[in-house]
Amino acid sequence: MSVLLQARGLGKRYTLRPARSLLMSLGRRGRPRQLWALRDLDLDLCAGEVVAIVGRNGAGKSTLLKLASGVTVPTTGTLRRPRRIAPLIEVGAGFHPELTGRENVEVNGRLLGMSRGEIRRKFDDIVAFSELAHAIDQPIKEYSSGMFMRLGFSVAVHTEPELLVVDEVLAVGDMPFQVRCLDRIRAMRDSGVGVLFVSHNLGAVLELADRAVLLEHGNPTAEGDPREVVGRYHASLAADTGRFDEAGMAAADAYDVEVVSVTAESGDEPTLWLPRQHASVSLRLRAVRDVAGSILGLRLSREGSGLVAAWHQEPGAASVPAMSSGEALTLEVGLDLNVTPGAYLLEIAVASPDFREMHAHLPAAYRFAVGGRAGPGMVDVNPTVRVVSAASTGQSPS
Amino acid sequence: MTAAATVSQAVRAATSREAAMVAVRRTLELTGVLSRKNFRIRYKRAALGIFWAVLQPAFQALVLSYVFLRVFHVHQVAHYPIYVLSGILPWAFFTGSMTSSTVSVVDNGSLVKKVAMPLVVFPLSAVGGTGLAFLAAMPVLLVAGLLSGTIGWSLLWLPVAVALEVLTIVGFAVLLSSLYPAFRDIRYLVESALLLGLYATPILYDRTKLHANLSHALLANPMTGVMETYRAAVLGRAVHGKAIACTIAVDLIVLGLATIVFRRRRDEFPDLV
Repeated sequence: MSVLLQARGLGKRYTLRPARSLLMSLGRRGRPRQLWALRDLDLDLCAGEVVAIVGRNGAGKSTLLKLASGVTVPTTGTLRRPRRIAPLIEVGAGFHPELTGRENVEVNGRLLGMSRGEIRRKFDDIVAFSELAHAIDQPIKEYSSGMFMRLGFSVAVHTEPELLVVDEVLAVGDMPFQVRCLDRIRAMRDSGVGVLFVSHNLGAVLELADRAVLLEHGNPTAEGDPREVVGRYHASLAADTGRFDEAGMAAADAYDVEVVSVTAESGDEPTLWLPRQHASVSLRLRAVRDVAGSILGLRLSREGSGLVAAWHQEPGAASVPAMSSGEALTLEVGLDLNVTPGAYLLEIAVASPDFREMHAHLPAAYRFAVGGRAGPGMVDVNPTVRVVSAASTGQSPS
Repeated sequence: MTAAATVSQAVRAATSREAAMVAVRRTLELTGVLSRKNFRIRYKRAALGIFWAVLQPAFQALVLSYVFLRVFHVHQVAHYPIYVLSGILPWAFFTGSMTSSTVSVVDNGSLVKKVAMPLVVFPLSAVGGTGLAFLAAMPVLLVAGLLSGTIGWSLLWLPVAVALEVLTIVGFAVLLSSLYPAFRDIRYLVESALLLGLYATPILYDRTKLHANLSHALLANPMTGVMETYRAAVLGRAVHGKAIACTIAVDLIVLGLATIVFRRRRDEFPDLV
C-alpha cells in the first residue's frame, strides 16, 4: 500500500510572546517562552487507512492537523504529504456571508484545488449531496449553521482528495447529515483515500479508526489498536484527575469521599465498557464532622453531548445514616450503562435530606468509555422486534 | 562528474523549476479568484452597486473643484476639475488597496489557518479587488480626457500609468499585510500616513507650481511619478522621465523589502490571525 502521509521525528515548537504592540516590541521586554506543541512523532498513513489522534486539549492534536494540512511548517523532522488534501477542519472556511451558495462553491472549490472545469462538472453533485438545491442562489448569510456545514462539507469531499483531514466535523450538523458524512468518509476510505482524524468523540474513533495515536503534552505515548489506545487515554485521564475534583470538595466538606472501585459484573474494571453492562461504584464516606444523614445524587454526561441522565434519592429519606465525626462507611451505587459508545463522566453528589446543603461533591467521580459500534443517539433502549401474529393472505389492509 | 549525475541534476533542476512554475500559476489563479470575490463583495449590498466606484470619486472631484475654484479662487491649474478627477481616481485605488491589503491576512484568518495555499494571494487579491473597481471607473478618466480636449496619442500613457501604480501598490500591500498580524498598530499608522499622503502627492495641486526644493522632495513619494503619468495620459502634459525613474527606484526597494519581510513572517501567520 502506498504511504500517503509520512512523518519522521516531526516536531513543532512555538515561541510564545506576550501580546505586543509596535512600541512594546521596540522595547524588547521579556524573554519569549518556547513551547513544544508536538515532538518526535513518527507516523505512516497509507491509502485507505483511517488514523485517529486522541488526547486532551493542548496535547498537540490541532498542531498535527495543521502540519498535515500544510498550513504550518515543522520545526524538526520531515513530513511527506500528498498534493491534494481536503481539510474538514472547519468546513466552509473562507465562505463569505454576502455571496450566494453558488458563488461560494465556486470560490471555495478553487481554493481547495479544483479547476474551474472540475467545479462546473461536479457542481450538481455538490449541490445534491448538500441538499441545498432550493437555496443555492441565496446569500449564505441566510443559511442556518447546519446548511452552512452541509455546503462546506459537500465541497470538501468533492475535491477528490488523497487525504482527508478531519477535526470534530462530525460533532455538528443534524443527525441524518452526520450519518451521511460518516458514510461518505467510509466510502472515500474504501476507495483508497487516507483519513487523519482528531476527535473527542471516542465512539467515532472506535467506530472508524484502523489505528489510533495518543498524544500527551505533545508527545506520542501510544499507538496501535484504537481500543487499547482509547483505554490508555482513559487510564491517563483517571490518573490525572484522581477521579474526583478536590476543588469541589472544599465547598462541600461534610465527608471525605473516595471512589474505591468501579466494577462490572465480572468483578473487574474494564478499560472499555460495553453498552448495557452493569457498573457497581463503591464509595467510601468518612465523616469529618457530625452529619445527620444524607441522600445521594448522580449525573451522567457524555463528552460532546452533555447530560444523559440525572437522578437523586427522594428528599427526606436519608439513605446515608447519621454519622459522627470520624466514622466511615462504604456505599455501593449500581447503574446500568444503557448508553451508546462514547466517553462519559459520572458526577456524584451527597446532600442533606432537605436538599439545602451539599455534603460532598465529586464533579468527576468516574470517567469511562463505552465501546462498540457507534450510532447516533445517546441511549441504548435495547430494542427487540418480534412477530405477534402470522401474516394473513388474501386480505387487504383495512 | 559522471553522465548519470549530470542527468539526475538536470532532472532535479527541471522538476524544481516545474514545481516553481506550478506554484506561480496557482498563486496567480487564486489571486484572480479571490480578487473577483473581493470585488463582488464590495458593492454587493448597495443598490447602485458598481456605479459607486464611479460616483464616489466623481462626487469628490466635484466638491473639491467647487471649493478650490469658487471658494478659495485658486486658478493655477488648467482644466482643474478634470485634473482633480484624474488624481482622485488613482488615489482611491491606492488608498483602497492599502487599507484592504493591510488587514487581508488577518481577515482571511479562517483560510490561513485551515487551507494550505500561497499566503501572498491575500494582499494581492485585496489589491486585485480594488483594482477591478478602479478598472470599472476607468471610463470616467477617458471622459475626463475627452473633456479636456487635449486627448490624443497621449492616452497611450494610460496603461503605463496603471502598470506603474500597480507596481507601487503591490510592494506596499505585501509589506503591510505581513506586518499587521504581529503589529496591529500598523492599521492606524497606515490610515494616518494615507491622510498625509493626500497632501504629499500632487493630487489637488500641481507640483510644477511649487518651490523647486519642495517639488524635488515630492519625487521621493512614488505616487508622484504615478500621478504625473496619469496626467500625461489624460491631460496631454509632458511626461516627466525623472519622476517615473524615481517611482520605479522606490518601488523596487519596497518590493525587495516586502519580499524579505513577507518570507520571514509568513510562517507565523497561522498562529497570529
